[in-house]
Amino acid sequence: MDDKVELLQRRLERERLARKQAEMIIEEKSRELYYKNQELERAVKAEHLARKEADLLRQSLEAFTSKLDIDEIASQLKSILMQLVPHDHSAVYLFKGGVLAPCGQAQGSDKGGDGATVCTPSLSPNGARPSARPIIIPNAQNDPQAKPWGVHPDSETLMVVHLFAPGRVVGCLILESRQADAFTPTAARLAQAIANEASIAFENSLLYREVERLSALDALTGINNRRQFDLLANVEFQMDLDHFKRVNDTHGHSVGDKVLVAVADVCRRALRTEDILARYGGEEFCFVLPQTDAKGAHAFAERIRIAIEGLAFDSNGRAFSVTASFGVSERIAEDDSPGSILERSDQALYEAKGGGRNRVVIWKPPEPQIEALPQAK
Amino acid sequence: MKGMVFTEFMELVDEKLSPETTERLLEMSDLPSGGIYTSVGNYDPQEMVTLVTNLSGMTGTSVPDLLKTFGRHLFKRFLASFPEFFEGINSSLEFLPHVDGYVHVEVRKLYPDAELPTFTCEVPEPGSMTMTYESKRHLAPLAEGLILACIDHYGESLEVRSETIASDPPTTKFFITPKQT
Repeated sequence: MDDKVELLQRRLERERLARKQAEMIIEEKSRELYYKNQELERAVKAEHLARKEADLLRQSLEAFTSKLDIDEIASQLKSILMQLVPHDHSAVYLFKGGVLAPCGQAQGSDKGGDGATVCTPSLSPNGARPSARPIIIPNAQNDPQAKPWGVHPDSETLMVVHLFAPGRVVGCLILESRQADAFTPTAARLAQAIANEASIAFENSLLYREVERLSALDALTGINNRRQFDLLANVEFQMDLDHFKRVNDTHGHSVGDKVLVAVADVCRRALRTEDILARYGGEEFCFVLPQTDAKGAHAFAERIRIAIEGLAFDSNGRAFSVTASFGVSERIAEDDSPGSILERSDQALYEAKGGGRNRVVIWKPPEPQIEALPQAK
Repeated sequence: MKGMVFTEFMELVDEKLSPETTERLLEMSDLPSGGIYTSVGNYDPQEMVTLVTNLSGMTGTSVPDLLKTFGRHLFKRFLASFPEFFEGINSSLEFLPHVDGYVHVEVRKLYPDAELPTFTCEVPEPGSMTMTYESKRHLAPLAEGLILACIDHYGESLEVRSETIASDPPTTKFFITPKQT
């Protein structure tokens, strides 16, 4: 009987221990499952993020290709980066005449800037091959490399992403963050991928602009052609070379062309930045001088007239010179069309020719209408 | 070896012999685990060898016969726990080929680290079957017990003869044929 009790006690004790063991095993298994689950959740999250990034990248690619305006592309680039690469300030710089100039509308807490241009030794359009990977500058406040970019006082880290066109650098993208470890290798890779898409768009935009510019230019003289002039017209005066047919007939068309190029060159050099010069046809040139009155235009035309007169040409050892006549007219009504301003300057030019050439004539209204006309500005 | 095999074994001894026999068996076996088994644990297969050998000594029944009995017991338990494996199956000759291709596949899902034997079935003529059993565990009699219980389950008149055909790895061939009358 005692044996049996002892036996049963042993069994109970064994079963108690077995249960305890089972509990431990189950606990361990659930822990394992918990960690595995967490791992899976992380993977799912990463997958979601990757998909979101891929989606945004595809969208950005589509958005870029639909844009031809450089500032719009820059804004688009910044807004995409805002969503995909966490940062606090951003700026896009493009090379303009060998220096980097900021572009794009302000985006969020944009770097903004005063439009000042910067150029760093590490980045030049034709210089040493820049890094295909973004440059991350961790200690942005004290690193001299970061200085030229005008780092914000609260920024800890700076990332420079190059914008490449085939064989050269067109500019760069600057991202700043207040966090010390903001730019991870993944962020850098992503920023570069997006920047590459933007680079293509920038390059297309520049090509488009160049094509536009070329289609607006006269092939011989390199100044605006008639089409472009009509688009911009706010005509102030016309110029016509005197007896140009005689130059062509005497010295040949190639000499005539040289004369046209030299005259266009003189005119171009006389222009202010806002002025427009176009070859209107043959030996006829037109000028648009915004914010200038007839008197100012007269003085301007007179300077050109004297400069042309002073040009010395040579044809097979025979020296010759040319002169030009000018007709000036200003806008006399708000709704003055380019055509009518041009017509009046044409009348003045006709008068200059009739008056003996090599002179500047300002258009005057016919006598009976004189009282109806407004005062010259 | 899965803890469930040990707990089932002890249950069988309880049932066929007595709880006292089980306790005596555990006491004399002096196992590293102390005989504390849980169905969710994993234990050294050598402990099973010790238990069966000692039980054989205690009862005078041979080890193969004990294993055969254990096999029959396990089949009943298996049938009770996993009836879905038998759905739509009407004979042992229909069920047995499923063991390797289906049952073991499911087992491996639950226990990726399980060391499972392999069964290869052949049908030399209608109404008969050969099953080649290959396992490191030397448990051919247990497999035979399982097969016999399966035949009983379907109430068939079949008999099983076994033949060891290789020793490394241990391989046994079972010939399942209609009973000679």
